Amino acid sequence: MVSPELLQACRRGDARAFETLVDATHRQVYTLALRLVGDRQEAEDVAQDAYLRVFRSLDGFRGEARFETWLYRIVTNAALNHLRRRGRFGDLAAEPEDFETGVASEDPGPGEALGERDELERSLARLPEGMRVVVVLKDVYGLSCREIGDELGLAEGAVKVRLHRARRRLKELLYGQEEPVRHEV
Amino acid sequence: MRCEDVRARLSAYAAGELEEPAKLEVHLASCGACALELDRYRQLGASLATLATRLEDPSSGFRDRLIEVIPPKRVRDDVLRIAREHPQVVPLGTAAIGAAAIGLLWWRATRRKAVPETEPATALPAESSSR
Repeated sequence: MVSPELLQACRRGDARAFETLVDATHRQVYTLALRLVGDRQEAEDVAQDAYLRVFRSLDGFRGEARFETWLYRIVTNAALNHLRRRGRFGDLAAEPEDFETGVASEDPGPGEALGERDELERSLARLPEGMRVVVVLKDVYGLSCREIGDELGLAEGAVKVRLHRARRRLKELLYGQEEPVRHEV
Repeated sequence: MRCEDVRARLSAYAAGELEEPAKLEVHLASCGACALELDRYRQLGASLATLATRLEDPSSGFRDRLIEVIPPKRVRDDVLRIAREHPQVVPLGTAAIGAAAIGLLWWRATRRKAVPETEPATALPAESSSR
């Protein structure tokens, strides 16, 4: 955990403190960026962008929330901006029905570039960005649907719909097709 | 409740997000297929939760590249802090920058005068006329 003393030293411009902060957080930052953008090189670009934002706005961090929460929010924001800039965020703006067709390509895409990973990580990487971002933020990092909606510019209800569809797609990728429906109770 | 209706709520139920689960639970008690789907969602949720602490390794040198991006900001902040804490140096700094700019302009102007704008035709390489 990043201490208030370390942050204060960073605010004073202490180079060593900045290095300590980077040492303490850069793998977490990189991992979150990677899970959101799905590509190692792009994740490093996002992480660098996020740190620049952190150091630029550190004076504005007053410690109401944990520093890590604030940091993750900045990384998320940087990742979403990156996806928008790269034109890979159309899925999220689309109607939920559009998720149902052709988005989970057989091509592993960026997931293959991630090297040795287990089935879950590969399946996550195969989700379209619009789905992956929602499920990663909610089920991995524990943001609320409202917080995710704020980040993405979506209503809370829309986030819930997308979350359900993302989980269902992920479940199918991992365990195969759903059990057939049988009866009414 | 029909299986289709239950399936549409199962992921939320597995995550503890469903507000009124009673009817769904009645269905689950007698439907093995939906109960199996529920187990899958629960497994998925548990697996996803473990990812938060499973860290990926960036490329070698990534950490050092991050450190490199910091100094420009620090220098800028130092300048801003000095200006804030010692406002009397701001006019001096401004004057110094102004003097440097004037000096640069003067140097460029005198250099332009010293170098003829066009070279005489005879300055062409001799080999071009010998071909």
